[in-house]
Amino acid sequence: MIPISLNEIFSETKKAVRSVNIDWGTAHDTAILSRWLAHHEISFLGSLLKSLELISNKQLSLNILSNNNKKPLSTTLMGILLVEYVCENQLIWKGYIDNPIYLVAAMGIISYEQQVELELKDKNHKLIAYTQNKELFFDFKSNIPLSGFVYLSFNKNKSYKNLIKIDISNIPIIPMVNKKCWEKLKAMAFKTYVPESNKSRISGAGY
Amino acid sequence: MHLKNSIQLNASNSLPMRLPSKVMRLNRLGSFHQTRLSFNRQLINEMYKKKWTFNISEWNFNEEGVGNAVIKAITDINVFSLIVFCHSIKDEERSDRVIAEKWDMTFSLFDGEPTEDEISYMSKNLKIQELGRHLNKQLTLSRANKSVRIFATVLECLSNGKQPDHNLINDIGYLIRTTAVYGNGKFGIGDYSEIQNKSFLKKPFQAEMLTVYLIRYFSIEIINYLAKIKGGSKAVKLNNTLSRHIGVGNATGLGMAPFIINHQELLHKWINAREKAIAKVISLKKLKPSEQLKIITLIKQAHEYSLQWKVDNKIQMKRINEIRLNLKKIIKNKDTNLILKDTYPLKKLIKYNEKKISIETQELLNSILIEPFSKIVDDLVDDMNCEETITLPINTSIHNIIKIIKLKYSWALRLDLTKDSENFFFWYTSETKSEPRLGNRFVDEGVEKELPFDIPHQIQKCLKILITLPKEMSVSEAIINHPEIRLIIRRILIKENYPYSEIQDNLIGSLTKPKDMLRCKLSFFGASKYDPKSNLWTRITLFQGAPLPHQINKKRSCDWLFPILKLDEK
Repeated sequence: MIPISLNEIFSETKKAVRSVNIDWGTAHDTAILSRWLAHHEISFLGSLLKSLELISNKQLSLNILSNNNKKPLSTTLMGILLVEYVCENQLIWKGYIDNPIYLVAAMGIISYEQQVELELKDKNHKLIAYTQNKELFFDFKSNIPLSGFVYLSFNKNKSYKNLIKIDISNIPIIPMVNKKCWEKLKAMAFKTYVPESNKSRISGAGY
Repeated sequence: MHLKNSIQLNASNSLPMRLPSKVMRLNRLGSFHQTRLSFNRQLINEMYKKKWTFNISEWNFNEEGVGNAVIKAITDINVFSLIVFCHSIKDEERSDRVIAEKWDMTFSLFDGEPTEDEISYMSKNLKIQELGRHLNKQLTLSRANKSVRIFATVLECLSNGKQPDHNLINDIGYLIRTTAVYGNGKFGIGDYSEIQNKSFLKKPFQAEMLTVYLIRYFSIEIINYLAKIKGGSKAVKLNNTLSRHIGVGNATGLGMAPFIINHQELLHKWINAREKAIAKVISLKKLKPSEQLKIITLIKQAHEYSLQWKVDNKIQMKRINEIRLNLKKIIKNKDTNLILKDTYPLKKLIKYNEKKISIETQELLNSILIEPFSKIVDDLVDDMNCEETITLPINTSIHNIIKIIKLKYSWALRLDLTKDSENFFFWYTSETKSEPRLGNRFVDEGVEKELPFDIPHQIQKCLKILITLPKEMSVSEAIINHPEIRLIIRRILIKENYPYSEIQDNLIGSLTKPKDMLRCKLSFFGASKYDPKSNLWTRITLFQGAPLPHQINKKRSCDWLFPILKLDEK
């Protein structure tokens, strides 16, 4: 494991997502989610790389309105859009997803910014996570289905007591990530770079 | 922070703020000068207010000046240390390029006091800069080269017991020049979000400013040290007047430009504070005689500063000559004094001169007008940073977005983007040190990896899509079917609440001069003596005229706008 800064996680994720031909806006969202997860000491890199691989192979859906068990929705990429959509339309969304962790991060962020109340349940209606009063409740040590069918719903004035509050205060942490995975992400990010022309090089600062 | 809860420009205080359509044009942004709100000024103010002290806790150099030093800045609650390593490099290895691989000195600002192990770790990693992995207690990562135009000459003079020529010191303005000051998590150094609660670092770019301030101090100390070694008992130290006129040079290129495109809310906060300051002072009904005198004194000082500001770039030199003429006319005009005695003097002074002076002089005049009024403008610095928004506000309809586009992006809709000239450049990230670069779309390869800085293009495409959708459709539903508009919709929604968040020019058009973007950002850093070398990069000086560590606690140490030096007669 190696220490990586939050900003490095943000910038490398953004470029890596872009490298698989995803639009910049979605790449930005995914980068924010990766940074949020790292900041909360929740492992993210392995699932991110897996999702990017599946996206490259067109095995994940990028459309909230279209998914099935063979081609689940990529919440790694579409997590923020999905929570915005559910909140905006105040509905229960159900479907197959690739990565609940990223969806939970999106719930935490929108709850903090817009004080909306959401709940996420698995296919058996077992509670995975919920938000309340700008706070996120989620037992990430025991409640992480790798993927599968979920219900994400907009809820008002519900109260729960059985999950652990995620501390979203700024506790200084140094994110640690798997070195091999990190190198893989960086290699993907590098694909967005362009070899500079000689003309461009000699017109840069300092010449 | 939610977009809808963010600040509304000028909604409640009715200050006469300038419109974004005037302020946010590149030619005006590229004419900004340092103000008392600039980040290096904020740093010095903080040092003065909190009675910071400085000491050199380690100094291990050989006769060639190779070795290391630790300089401590002791604040009211924290200690920060600048760790400097000086290396021996050949003249031909010395380059201003960000892509250089060897430097005269490499350094880092460290949070606290480093242990021996940490210094040992940094000794291996700092010298290779981007290729190394750095400690999270490091807040910045930087390097500098000696100025070959001045360093040896000054050293020779001091070692022979003489002070160097004032003209030389003024013409160059620094002993060393940095090529990059990395901060906020780059290459493994600490994230600012993790330390912002700590202290003065809540304000923008304070770690970078402190790094530059301390390396300036170091540059003076090391030349004095080397002079003593070389000249022995006959050597003298660089005197206080010349030392104070020594700044730190910097060569700034495209690496800086994306920041002000990518951080809309921050850009707004910076410009908004500046515009509010201008609005506040031009709303003053009467000036005290001392304030009138101060304004006149500052205009004269700015004139003298412009006479001492010389560059090779013909376009910039022409602009400097215009400043000289404009300021001279203002000084000589008898109406200036009468206006300053009148009601709403500063508003009238601007109005009276606006059409007679260049944009660059207008903006320089704005810096002058803000300067004497610390009591009414200094608190604006507390609102120059922000937490950036992430989610799009719920309950926003397509109808709303179209309305904002038509209202706030009319400048982008007016452009004829079918013209080659409006599609001339593309921005990309270079494989070399991940630096942003500008390519010619019709010549260079890599267009498919273009960075999304074609704002008017995205606006026009977005509008084309939106008008085909039901007006009451929500934004998220529109994005589900058109994910490619997510980025620009975010910009549009930020722009709605942050009026100064968008540069109102086509950044890929053939007429774009990226140096204007650099200049805008550098003015907020507090740069002086802009010395553009092309449309793509500029040299600048930071902290020229700023108080030295032993002068920080002296009265008026915070006032150092437009530094001038009494020059030797030729």
